[in-house]
Amino acid sequence: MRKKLIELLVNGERREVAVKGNDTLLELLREKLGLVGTKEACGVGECGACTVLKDGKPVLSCLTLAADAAGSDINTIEGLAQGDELDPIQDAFIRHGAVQCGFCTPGMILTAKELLAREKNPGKTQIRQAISGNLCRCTGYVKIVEAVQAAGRGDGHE
Amino acid sequence: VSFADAINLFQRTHGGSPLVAKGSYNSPDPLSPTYSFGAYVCEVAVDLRTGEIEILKFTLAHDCGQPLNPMSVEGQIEGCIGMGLGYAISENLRFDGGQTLNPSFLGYGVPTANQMPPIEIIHVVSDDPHGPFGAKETGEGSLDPTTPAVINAVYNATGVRIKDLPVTPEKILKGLKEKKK
Repeated sequence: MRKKLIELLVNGERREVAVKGNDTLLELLREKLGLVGTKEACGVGECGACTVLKDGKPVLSCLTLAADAAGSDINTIEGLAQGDELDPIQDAFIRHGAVQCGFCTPGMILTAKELLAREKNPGKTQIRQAISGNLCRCTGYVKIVEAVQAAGRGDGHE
Repeated sequence: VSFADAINLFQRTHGGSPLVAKGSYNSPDPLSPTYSFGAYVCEVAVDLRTGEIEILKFTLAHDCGQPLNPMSVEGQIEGCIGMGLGYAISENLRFDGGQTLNPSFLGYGVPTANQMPPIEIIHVVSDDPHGPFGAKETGEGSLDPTTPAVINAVYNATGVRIKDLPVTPEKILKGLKEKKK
């Protein structure tokens, strides 16, 4: 299949990638750019593990065609920390024990990132609704909700 | 001397071979060295017209020995409540002649964040002589009582005893109808 050169911003960095028509954004990130923090679990858009931010909105990268991401601004889990300084949500996840096996964590954090960008101090119900498209088998979601709430309150760094 | 230094010293003086120690332990009980205990209470509301179940709250006490990291203990228990709830009311692996009929997360029914009830955890602290630093377990022991707690709550609310999982509105309505006869 013929490849096409596309240009996009990934974690603030301009990248040029040759993609096939049927490449997904997930494949672009993991296989072409080596950003394996984005996880593939179901691969058919049911679990939310592959969530990344595309122009600030959470999208399922397994269902997004790489070609459709041309010209867009993509944020993955690798882009959240500033040097050694973790993002407040990442920090809150650690402090609240919100990570067990960790496979849902990147998607959860990026979904939460978008929620906190539009909602300063969300309540538990709002958080539960926002992350309801991200499946977690380990935690029962309680600690994840607590971590997002703490990050929203600004007490991630306690 | 620190642990890292000790390993370093050993490896340098033994041709780089790893430091290996062997030990053995015989459990006093042939099944398990120790047992954890718990009491799990589930509160449900059942709509008698539609059979729909709403899980209102879980309250539970779990004896995991000495909780070495109470936050992790809670995390394990909460995970078990999620899994047990799915087992009780939504998860169902359906087969037809060896063929899985619902081979997807969408069809299987793993609970989502907005389906989880409030959970109140009471740590029962005990000191187990067999476990590490007095601890026992909390990973799986919390899963077992979750589902029966839901089923018993449904029985308490409706008088319908469900014997095959998951409990669905259809099964509850069928049970209610049979009870009326």
